[in-house]
Amino acid sequence: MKPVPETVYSPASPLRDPIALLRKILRENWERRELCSQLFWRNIKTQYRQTMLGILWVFLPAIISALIWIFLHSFRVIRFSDAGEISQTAYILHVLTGMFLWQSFVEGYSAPIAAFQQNRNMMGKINFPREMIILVAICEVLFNAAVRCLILIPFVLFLTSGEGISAKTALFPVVFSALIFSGVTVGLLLVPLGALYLDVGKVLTMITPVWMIMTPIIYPTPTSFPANLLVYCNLASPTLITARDYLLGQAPQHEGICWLYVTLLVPLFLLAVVLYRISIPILLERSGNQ
Amino acid sequence: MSHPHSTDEKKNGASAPVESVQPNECEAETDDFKVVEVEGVSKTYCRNLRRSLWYGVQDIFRELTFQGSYSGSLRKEEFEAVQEVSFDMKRGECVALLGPNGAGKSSMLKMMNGILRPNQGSIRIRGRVSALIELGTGFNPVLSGRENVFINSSILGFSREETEEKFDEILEFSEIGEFIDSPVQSYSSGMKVRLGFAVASHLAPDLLLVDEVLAVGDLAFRLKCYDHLQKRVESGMSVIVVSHIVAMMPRFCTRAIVFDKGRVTFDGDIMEGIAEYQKILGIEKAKLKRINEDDFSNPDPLSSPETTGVEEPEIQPEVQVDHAKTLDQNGVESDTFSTGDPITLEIAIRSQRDLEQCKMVISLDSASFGIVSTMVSARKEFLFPLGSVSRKGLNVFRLHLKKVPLVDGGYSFNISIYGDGKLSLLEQRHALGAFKILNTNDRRKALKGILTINHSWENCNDREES
Repeated sequence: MKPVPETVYSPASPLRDPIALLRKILRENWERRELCSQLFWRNIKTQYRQTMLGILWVFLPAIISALIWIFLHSFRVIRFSDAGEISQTAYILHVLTGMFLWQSFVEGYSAPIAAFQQNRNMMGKINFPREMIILVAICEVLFNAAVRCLILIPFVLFLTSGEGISAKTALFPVVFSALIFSGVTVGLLLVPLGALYLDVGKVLTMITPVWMIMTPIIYPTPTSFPANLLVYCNLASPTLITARDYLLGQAPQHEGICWLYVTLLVPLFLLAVVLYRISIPILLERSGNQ
Repeated sequence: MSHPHSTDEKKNGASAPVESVQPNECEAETDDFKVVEVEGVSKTYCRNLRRSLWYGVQDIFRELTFQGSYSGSLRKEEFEAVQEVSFDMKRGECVALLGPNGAGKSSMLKMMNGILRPNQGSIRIRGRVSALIELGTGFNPVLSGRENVFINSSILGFSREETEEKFDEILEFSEIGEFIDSPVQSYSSGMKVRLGFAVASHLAPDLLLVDEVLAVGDLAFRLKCYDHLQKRVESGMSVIVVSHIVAMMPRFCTRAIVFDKGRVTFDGDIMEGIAEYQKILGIEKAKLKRINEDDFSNPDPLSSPETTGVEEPEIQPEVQVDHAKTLDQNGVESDTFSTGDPITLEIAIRSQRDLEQCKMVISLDSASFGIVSTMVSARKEFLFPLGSVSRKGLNVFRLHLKKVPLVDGGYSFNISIYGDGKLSLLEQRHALGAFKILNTNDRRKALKGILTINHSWENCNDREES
């Protein structure tokens, strides 16, 4: 005989036993993994069904941004005196790789709030594991990142003639994923506040271009103080620089701090998941969509 | 009141959170097995959006500091939408949650579905829960009906295999036919609703929560939905239905829980519950009418005393109904009668001056069916004088209704008073003297409809033979 499941809803804090809560979150999402794949493919199918350029939109913005900077550099509109002269080929690789990685990071941190806003109505009507929409959003960001890699990696191999390939190149997907997850973690931590106050979304839109300028994407990684603070005080920099170094076969300049960030990322991500879970009933009640 | 159990916990469930109580397999097989136990549940909301958002930030902080949901006294601009509600439900029971808008029914349903958390009390659910709250939630307009069926059922907790197994049944029930492979954006709203209901209703939960979804689609499809729901109840599923269409409720509900202003005012037999609900509805209607009249009487808000600061004397209409009440055959005030009982309506009128040749028009109103009958005093050549309140006090009249043939339900009276002249309306009031008809002792009288018509039967074949 199948045992009867029992559910109790009460005001008591689910955080009294955080380990049990985490286990429950993992179990529920694992049991409903089929839903994750259903929603993922639904979103992928519908995302490009009403577009003319289709999947090109995954890498077109990054390529156009990169082309602008390459154009400016080739006509010496921008010059980097600190790092000396950079060959045009090296600059193309530097900017294009940086732009592709940055675009995935931005998608990562904007995905959780966007996923919550898109699915708020459904969450207010049907009870299903709430983390599922975040999981689906992560899968979409990873899917887009993989598509970008399919363009980027052959291009890099073509321009470098495969000279930069080493054992450390194999670490590129790991660090690239860590870069995306650091973005997702920031986004997930912002969901409770972002769902209540629309200011959060507006601030994110406002700071994204500034954040990009503060990350060594279009210019070489600064090494001297105080410019190198852009690396240490910028969540995106260490992982982005290291991922790029691994892919281009350059000596990783900030490998240590990158792996420290990756290690810290795991507990921070779990904390973000728990915060998200306990906030959801409050957000559904307060943010106007019941 | 904080419940000792941890919140939103569940075991062996497919979709929602659970608790550490071990399931009792033997108990589950008994008739007394309780599927739902609601104990002292309250839910508060805030009227002011900005304040509500700030309370939201505070509540998240409380959760992070292990304090759980806020359950203290009401904060500024908060009100209790659900107040200390308690009830339980046995396996196979079908319960109607009735009440006027804003009574707390949907909030209760959302707490039972785990969407919202109670501020006080606890809700214990044994078994898998599904909710029919908004049909077609999660439908994507650019995907085909077929694709949406699989996605929608997955959101509701079906596996792909289960959906494939039920797909033909769902398709047949929805009557979508060949359009199943067309994008949902090309469907009419009725088609979307039919497909949504077909998917959701083919789930097999232990407890099904239905919120107002039976009011959609055309009549034929609605009847089909009712039939389907009735079959599910007969198969042993427990169902909670929230709907304002009470006429169909007795078909599959045996019990009603009536909500008014967040509290349970009645819990019992469905017919009695409907009567109680209609009585509340009549009172609400009267209040609404009064508010509208007040608004209309002062159309310019800028000239109101609140805005001008000038205190104006209260203008009293010349004639006012002071009160109206129903009396039984012994002249004793009562608001509950049986079919066929005589009912007397007593009306007390306050007049500011002496008037002659007044008339009264009284309509008997059913909250769910509308006007049942209208009685005009002039047609009975009953013209009456009204004495001023300073001279005579209240003017009291009685309207005697003989053998009232109404069936179970809630009713009230609309009263209009006219002076000497066709267009001289002096006073008009709605939903006064609310009463209910209940045939608790003779269930045969509790028929569908609104009236029992005095009738007889005759076998014409017998007459021809003789």
